[in-house]
Amino acid sequence: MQFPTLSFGLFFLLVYAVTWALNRSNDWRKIALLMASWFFYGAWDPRFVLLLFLSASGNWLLARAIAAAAAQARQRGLVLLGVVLNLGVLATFKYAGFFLEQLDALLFSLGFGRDVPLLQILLPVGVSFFTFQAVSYLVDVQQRRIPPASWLDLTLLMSFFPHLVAGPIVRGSDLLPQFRTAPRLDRGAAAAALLLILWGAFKKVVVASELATALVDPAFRDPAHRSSLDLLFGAYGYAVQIYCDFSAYSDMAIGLALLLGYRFPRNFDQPYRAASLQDFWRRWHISLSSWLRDYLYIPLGGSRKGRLRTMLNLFLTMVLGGLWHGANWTFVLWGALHGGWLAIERGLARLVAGRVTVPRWIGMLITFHVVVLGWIFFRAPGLTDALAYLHGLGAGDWRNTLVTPLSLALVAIGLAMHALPPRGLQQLAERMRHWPAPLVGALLALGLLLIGAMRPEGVAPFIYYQF
Amino acid sequence: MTIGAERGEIAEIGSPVNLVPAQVDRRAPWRWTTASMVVAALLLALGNGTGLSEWADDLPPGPVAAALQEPLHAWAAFTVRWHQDRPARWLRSQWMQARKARFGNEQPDAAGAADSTTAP
Repeated sequence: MQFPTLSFGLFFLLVYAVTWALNRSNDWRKIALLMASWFFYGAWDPRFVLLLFLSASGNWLLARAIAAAAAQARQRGLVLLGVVLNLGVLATFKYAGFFLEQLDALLFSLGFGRDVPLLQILLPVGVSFFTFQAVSYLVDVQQRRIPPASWLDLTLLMSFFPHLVAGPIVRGSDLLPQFRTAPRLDRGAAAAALLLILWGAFKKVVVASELATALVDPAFRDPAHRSSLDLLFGAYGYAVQIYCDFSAYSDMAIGLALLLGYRFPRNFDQPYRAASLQDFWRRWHISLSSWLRDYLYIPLGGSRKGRLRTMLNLFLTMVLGGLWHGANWTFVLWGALHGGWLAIERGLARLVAGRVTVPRWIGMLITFHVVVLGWIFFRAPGLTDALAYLHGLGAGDWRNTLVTPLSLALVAIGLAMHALPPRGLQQLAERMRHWPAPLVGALLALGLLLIGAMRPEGVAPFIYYQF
Repeated sequence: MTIGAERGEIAEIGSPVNLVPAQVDRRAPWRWTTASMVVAALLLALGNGTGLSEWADDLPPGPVAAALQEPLHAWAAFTVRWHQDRPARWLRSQWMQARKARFGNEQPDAAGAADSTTAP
């Protein structure tokens, strides 16, 4: 069940009606939301619900034990156990096959033959998101940032369907306090939510899906037989596609949760306006970058242990962040590229501090192209394909065999979104809350009709579902 | 759509939907939101009956799909008879024309096209 589909729309309308009807009892409201979330998740595979239930229950027990432990050493031991167990779940489902493949290749190259059984494990949708959520919850409980939650609250935090399969990674400190009392809706929030859902549907259905089928997929399917110009625009197209796909999911998740009375943190902030890679990571997948900062980079020592160690910490954080996306060398290289460039930026900034000022537009141009280079590794199915793509890009064949006026316009629209006023949506919502409901409904219907008319045949799943 | 990164902080604090509070916010908010969504749903059902019927056809076979298909097909036929689907069809045809437009002889649907033309 995907967000921008009629099936999901009907499901959501039912959930909306039931949860607000139960608003007098916060517990029954949360139980209804939990059941709805499990139904939503079970639509992929009912076995996933059992995994989610076990993971939430295990983390609930661990958090209670951490809070009850008097000695700090015992608390730390319990957190370590929780981290190992959570990452163990992730490793089993996501990385076991990959590591066994690497081991098999290594043994084969050493002349031991193929002795390792290769595994094909079904990857539960969203496992990376709820695992990271659980790890941050345990650490936050141990560090007394939040009190341990009830079983219902924690299970709902991890299962809540708007963020369950593709984030944002909503931390306990953001959502658990909101679960303690029955929420209230207000017109401004509802107007912003409806606009976010409409805007997200436009980005996903019209821009991302059309670019995927008309430009990006053909470019990456067979890069050896495409011109350099095709591949250049294919890479630009993917930069726009992944932004419009993933930020659309986040926008819709934020909007849906808001219609149910809960606020999620922002996850995107016009990322291609970034003038440095550090700036980019303050704007792109903010819930992941801040998670990596707080639960990986800072515990590794952050910038407190000297210049070289800072660079190493940045590099390691980004490589592991890359690996979080999937068990593939392309993701490792993507992370290494980002980590390496972040380290170079940090070094250069110290070297030329106060002596050279780079104009912002040059910073934006360089950063955008570093990010696009990274996207080639991120999108390519394998390392060989990524290298073939780069080889084709540098071949100097500038004929156009792929870019149509529509795909060029969509790339331009996707980039132009970054020049919109940063508070544009809020300002529109502040006006819209004064309009009568029939007018708002009519405009919503018109917007959705327009989006429906521009949809390709069948909308592909969100890119981040696979992570 | 949001602000924050220009000032250098990690911008996870705050939500992209924080608005300046106004008195109207508390004026029957649930009724206003629900009425907006109901009006939108009714207008969509009126203007896109064919879409509803296609959705019912794509449902996995079963009693729910069987129960929905006949009335939704009848509804789609009704909306077509009264030309309620005309705006949606017109928009779709415009979009399909935009998709067919070409600068030259580019072939996005072909598996690989660069090798089919002569290299400079």
